[in-house]
Amino acid sequence: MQNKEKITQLIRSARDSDRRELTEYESKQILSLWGIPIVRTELARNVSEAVQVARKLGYPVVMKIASPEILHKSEAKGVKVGLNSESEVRQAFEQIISNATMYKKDAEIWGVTVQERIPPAREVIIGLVQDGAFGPTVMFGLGGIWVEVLKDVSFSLAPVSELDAWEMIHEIRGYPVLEGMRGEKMADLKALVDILQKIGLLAIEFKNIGEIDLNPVFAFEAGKGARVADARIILRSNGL
Amino acid sequence: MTETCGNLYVAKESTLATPSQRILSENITRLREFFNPTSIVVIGASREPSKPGNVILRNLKKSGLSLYAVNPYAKEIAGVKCYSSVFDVPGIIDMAVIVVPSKFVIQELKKCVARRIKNIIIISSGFSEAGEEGRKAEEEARDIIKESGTKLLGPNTLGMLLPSKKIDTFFVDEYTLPRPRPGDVAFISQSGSISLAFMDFAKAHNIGLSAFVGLGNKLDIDENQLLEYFGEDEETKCILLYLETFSDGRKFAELCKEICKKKPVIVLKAGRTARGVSAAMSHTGRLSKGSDRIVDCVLKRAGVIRAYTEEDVLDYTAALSWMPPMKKGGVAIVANGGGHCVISADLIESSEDIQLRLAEIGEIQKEKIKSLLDIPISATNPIDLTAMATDDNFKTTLSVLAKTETVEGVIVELATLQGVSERMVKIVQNFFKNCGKPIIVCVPGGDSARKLAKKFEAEKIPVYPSLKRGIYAANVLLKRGMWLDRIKNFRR
Repeated sequence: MQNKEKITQLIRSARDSDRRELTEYESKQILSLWGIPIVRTELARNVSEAVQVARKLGYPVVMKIASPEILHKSEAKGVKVGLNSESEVRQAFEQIISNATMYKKDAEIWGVTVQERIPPAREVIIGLVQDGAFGPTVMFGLGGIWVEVLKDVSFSLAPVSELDAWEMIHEIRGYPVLEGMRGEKMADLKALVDILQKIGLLAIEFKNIGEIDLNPVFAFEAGKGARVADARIILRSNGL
Repeated sequence: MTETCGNLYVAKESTLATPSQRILSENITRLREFFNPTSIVVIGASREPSKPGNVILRNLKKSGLSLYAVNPYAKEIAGVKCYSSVFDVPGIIDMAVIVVPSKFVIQELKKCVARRIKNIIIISSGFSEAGEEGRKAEEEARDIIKESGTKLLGPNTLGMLLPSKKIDTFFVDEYTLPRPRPGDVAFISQSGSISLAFMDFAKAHNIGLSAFVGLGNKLDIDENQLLEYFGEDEETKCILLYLETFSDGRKFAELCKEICKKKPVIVLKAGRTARGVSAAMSHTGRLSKGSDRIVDCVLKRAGVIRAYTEEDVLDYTAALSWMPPMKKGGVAIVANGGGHCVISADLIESSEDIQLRLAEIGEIQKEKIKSLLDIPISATNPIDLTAMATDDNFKTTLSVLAKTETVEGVIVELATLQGVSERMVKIVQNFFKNCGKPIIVCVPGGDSARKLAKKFEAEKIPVYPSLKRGIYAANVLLKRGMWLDRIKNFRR
């Protein structure tokens, strides 16, 4: 219950400042409050906080600009990956902030998010959309060219039953990739089922959420879970 | 899990609405009245034999119901007494069929509501489909019936055809378009032209209808109301829908999911790219916008069998209403020709959208088939009985397949040759009667093939003019069976 209130607060504060699109950091906070595992991400408001967080998460880390006015982070040169030491973190912080200011002069900047780097995994995309005929609908697909070029995705109405979620995963053409190729182990499908179901419930509970992109979600080997690496939540245009 | 019901299979543990839910469904009670009128008035009856107002009156006359006509200038049309206004018609009137030009529809509708006629069909076109003015008229009509308890079908519709009651509001006579026989398929359609084509198909292929309902512009009665009604209707064992738009897609999916547990629902959803997604700021939004994949997935989860062409509708209806579903999909193919076998094997093994597979036939069964036949064959599936095959060879082979556990269904493929005769119909029928496994027949060819096919259809055995169509129809039996199985047996 407390978590629900916190989510409502996060949504309201974006609304209050006239933003439909939540930042990656806010989106991840919501997901985390809703029980969806995310790649550990913390906000550092200054260099020393960044260093502290990095030490806590362990090297290497990923750093990204945190600004409600900069949503295309790579375009603003606001992403640095594979940072291996305190000095690299310090340097990255300064660079990201100055790049952001160059990209958008008076942008409101909250700081920089510091994320743990995670082991290689298969990438999937999980999303939510409001369909004209069906209302809130959850999407699943494999990351990369599978979704970009082949549009290899599947859908289910929210809320998503466990059976629906299993079917969504099984009916994409790229399913064998999740099953594992060339000696690879099966991906943790149970963890993906869980995220799909939770996204469906999130949309049912918070009617003002219009669209969600979890892209990518890292799916580890069976038993090792899955975690959201990047997220965007977009609110509906017509009020709370 | 299934039991025979006539020639049709329904789930035994059907999830019919509980008694309390039944009481709740005002919609079903009202539609039951709508589909059971005892007196009908045709408003806009015409003396001109080719005019809709005349054809409809003549068609309705065959129902033997109390029939009245409204035409201020005539005394009698086609033996039906005319009144100058609906107010002059004596007694209780259950239903009005309005067929006046669009500009007069509103005034006639007002009269009907004032006259307390509770069931109305507006055949006339010229409403929202024709532009802004028509859309406004439709709004006005909606206001007129509001809170009057009136059920309205249309406007811009063929109306309805209830073959068992001979209630028929088509503006096409039976000479131009013969009607299908009474039966157990309900057909709900948003298009007139496709409906007429399907009527003709149904007539030609012995598909019987419990009802046809033309949705028209869906001013009041929409597909969801009808779906709920025919889902509960005991005469209806299979529901077909042709839709261009969903009134409420979410409700539609929910209804289908319940109904499909009891009876098959086949949907031809056209206008694939015309659907919107509210916004598309996200990657997901862009991937979903106008995506037909959403419709595909949603219908599949709801257990609906999706058709993509009018031909699919016909093919799947015959299969699903005459044969039981398959769970695993191991089929045996028996043919009197090598080409048929090879083409079918290719289709089954290499089509991405076919889940059927060729059943493994064990050595013991193979030997049995070989020893019982007087022709040298290998008895490997697909089983080629060769051009020398006779009816009896088919009969013998089928009798072994009936007892072969790995074989869940059979596809018989016939070339019209000396050896095979009309006796094949009885043989196939008996196979089905005795073992209950679904069996589908393919007779590729022209007139001679069609002549033989008709004999199968007469006995409600699905028969197809091409191998591909037969295999896709058989695959639909599997799709349905797999869905039923998933819904029933899914465990984490």
